[in-house]
Amino acid sequence: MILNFYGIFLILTTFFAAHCAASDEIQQPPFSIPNKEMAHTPLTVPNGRLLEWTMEDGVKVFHLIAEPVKREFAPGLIVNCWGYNGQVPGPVIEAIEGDRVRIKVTNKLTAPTTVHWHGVLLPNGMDGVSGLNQKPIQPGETGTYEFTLKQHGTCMYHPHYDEMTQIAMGMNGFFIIHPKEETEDTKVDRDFVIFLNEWAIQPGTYTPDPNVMLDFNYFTFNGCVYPKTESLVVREGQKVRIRLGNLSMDNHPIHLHGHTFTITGTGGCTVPKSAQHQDVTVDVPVGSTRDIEFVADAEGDWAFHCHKTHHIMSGMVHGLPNMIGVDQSGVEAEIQKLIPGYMAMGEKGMGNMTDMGGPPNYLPMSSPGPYGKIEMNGMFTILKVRKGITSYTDPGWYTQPPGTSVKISQ
Amino acid sequence: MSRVPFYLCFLVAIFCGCTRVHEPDGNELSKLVEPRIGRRVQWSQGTKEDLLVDEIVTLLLQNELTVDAAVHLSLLCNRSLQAMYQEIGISQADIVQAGLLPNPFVSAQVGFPTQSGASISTQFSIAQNFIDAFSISLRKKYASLQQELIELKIAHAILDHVAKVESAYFELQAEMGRCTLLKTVVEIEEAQVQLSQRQLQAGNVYEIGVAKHEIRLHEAKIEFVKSESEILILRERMNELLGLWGKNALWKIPGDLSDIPSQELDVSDLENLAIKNRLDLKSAKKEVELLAQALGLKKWWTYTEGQIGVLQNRDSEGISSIGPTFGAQIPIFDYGQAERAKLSAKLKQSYERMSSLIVSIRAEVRASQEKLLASRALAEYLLKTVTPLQNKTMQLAQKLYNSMSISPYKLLKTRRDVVEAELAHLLAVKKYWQARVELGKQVGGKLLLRCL
Repeated sequence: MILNFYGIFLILTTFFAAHCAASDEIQQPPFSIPNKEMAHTPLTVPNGRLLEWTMEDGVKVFHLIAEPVKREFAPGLIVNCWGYNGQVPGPVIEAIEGDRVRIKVTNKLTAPTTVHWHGVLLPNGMDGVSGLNQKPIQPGETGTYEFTLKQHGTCMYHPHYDEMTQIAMGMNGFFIIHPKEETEDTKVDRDFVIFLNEWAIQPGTYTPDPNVMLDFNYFTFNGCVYPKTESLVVREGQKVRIRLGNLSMDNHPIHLHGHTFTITGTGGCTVPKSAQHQDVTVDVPVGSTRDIEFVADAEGDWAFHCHKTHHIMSGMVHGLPNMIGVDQSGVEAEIQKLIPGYMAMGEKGMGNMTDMGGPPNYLPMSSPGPYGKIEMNGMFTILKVRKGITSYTDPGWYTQPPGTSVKISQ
Repeated sequence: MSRVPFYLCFLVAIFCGCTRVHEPDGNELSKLVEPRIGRRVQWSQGTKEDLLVDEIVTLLLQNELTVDAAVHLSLLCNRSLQAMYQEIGISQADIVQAGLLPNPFVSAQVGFPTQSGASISTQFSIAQNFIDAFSISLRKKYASLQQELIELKIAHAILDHVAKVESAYFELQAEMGRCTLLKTVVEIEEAQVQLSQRQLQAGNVYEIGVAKHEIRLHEAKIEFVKSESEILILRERMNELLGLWGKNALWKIPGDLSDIPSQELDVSDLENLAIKNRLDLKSAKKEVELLAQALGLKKWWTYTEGQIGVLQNRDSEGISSIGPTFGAQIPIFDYGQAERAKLSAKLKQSYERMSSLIVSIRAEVRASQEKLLASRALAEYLLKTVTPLQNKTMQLAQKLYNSMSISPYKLLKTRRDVVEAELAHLLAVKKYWQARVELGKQVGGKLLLRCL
């Protein structure tokens, strides 16, 4: 029998399909593209996607388009951002150590830009610092970066022209470089990427203020605020990796409930096993990445959030008078005569605030949960661990087994 | 020859020269004033009409006074107006005086003889200045013109008085509205003080924050108290103009200024309207006429003071004689040349003053017209643009407060900004109504103005 090209193709395809069918019956969520090479666990990008690539003469070719993007942080909050390919943060560039990558960057902004490949080892001329390594890419122009990947790890990309403005407007993204081959140590069952961003969006407005240095009021995971942040759905017993990237102005101590994890990667590098330690909170400094890994061995809905308490609020304005413990009875009635509809607030803190009709493009500070309002949004999502699931679609709220719920009495 | 006919003729002549003084009335004055302000003059002279005045006053005071009711009251009760009306009585007496002949001059002389044999001599004469008789009609005409002048001046003063009443009314009404708004400001500041005091009680602020709020409260209270005091002062000003005191001084007026009418006055050709109707201008013209008339009275022959009379003489020898007498000054030094020159200069002066008044009237009318239109434009701008914006800001601020994006202090400050906008509008409306009063006065009477 002569094995012609088509025959070989058919055999390989059949083998390949059978392998896929046997190894993983769980369907990938529609928002992540299965890596065609299957050498590693596909990335899961909550509220985002991977950047498509094509092969051209052995080079992986990506095309980033820097452009204005209207991003819905959550229903009721639309933000005029700058991003890439309609995304904020930009789509995840995923490649493998050893790949030759060619990344075209087309500038559809009204301002010049560049892209710096944060943490990636590459020729100086590709480093993307405007004025130092290259001239900026003017509006309408396309810059082409090309280099061979000499490492693996969690890296990032962002502009290096007027960074204060362009990063504050949302221009950043992940550049994930997988090792050539997975090992038992590196192989995970679920691999999530979460980009940390901060925004200063005054109530009733739509555009972030890049001039704000510290006084932010919206905090996002992958450009979204809970309840829009997609839950991290895993099957009980799976090994989970969460990659965190931070190009905001603050460090973010990210805390996971119900599990301890190991910090396995920092700044695009792997932490040697001997140096790894366990924790329940990982501080992600500005300009850095952190990879954490754990086995999801506890079923339930587990909060995963920044532990700076202001970073799990949304729309908060600072500098207001402190009304904690202030008895406003009587005064409220007097003010209602002057301003009908006035309600005293703040005596008991921010909890249990009802939506009294705020300005447009504003999020109330709490969202519905199974036991009333969850007094968190901002940098908050939920790790949903379920026994024996066959799909990563959101399974809804966890039903606590009898005898495992808190008892509240008078 | 009998002397009786002489004396009888003389007595008849004297009798014919006597004229009674009639009681003056305000009819001519009312004819001048009523078409201009819509009210008659009420000259208190003890007539049947005067008995009704108290009833009318009581009726008017039962309700809140409108601006027209205030004008009516002042025409009824203001005693300085009544004092002014008496000028007409005075001028009427002057007319009578002008028609009177001078009194005859009687002299008698008795001579006791210093020699024996002679008898007592007597001389008796009556003389009458006859020159004045020729000038009676001129003098009466002059006095009539004077009365007309006085009536014009009084009528003009009445219009001026009415304008003062109306302007004072609007001033008071605006101040009452302002006082109400200032009270709201006090309440706003009081609420902030209460909030800050409670914050202090909870340990959330330092005393200085409370003190700052208290200072603003006291500043607001001071403005409010000043306004209350100003209202009392303006009320007394009104009482003075209305001529009221005691229980009658406790009248009330509505606390809100009327809205600016949608139809504006027709301001075309107001200058000519004023020139035609201004009573002070008519007075000035009358004064020119009067001076011309006065000049006519100063003929050279009026300085002769000629007299004719009868002289009866009985000398010491007992011989009697009777006959006419004649005497006069010879106007060789003073024939009135200086008086005539003076009057001539005064006449020219009066003419120049009249011309100057015309220029002033035109300028005043244009200025008043501009004030009216400008104050309307400002009031409308404030009402239609600024106040709605402030109200919108209030609504938006409330939304921000509801989302805890602004403090209750900022919310209350925004409420205060709304009050400030209302105050600005109130002031503009007051200025409009006062400008309208002034324009009415400038053209010679508010009823002469027409709407577009």
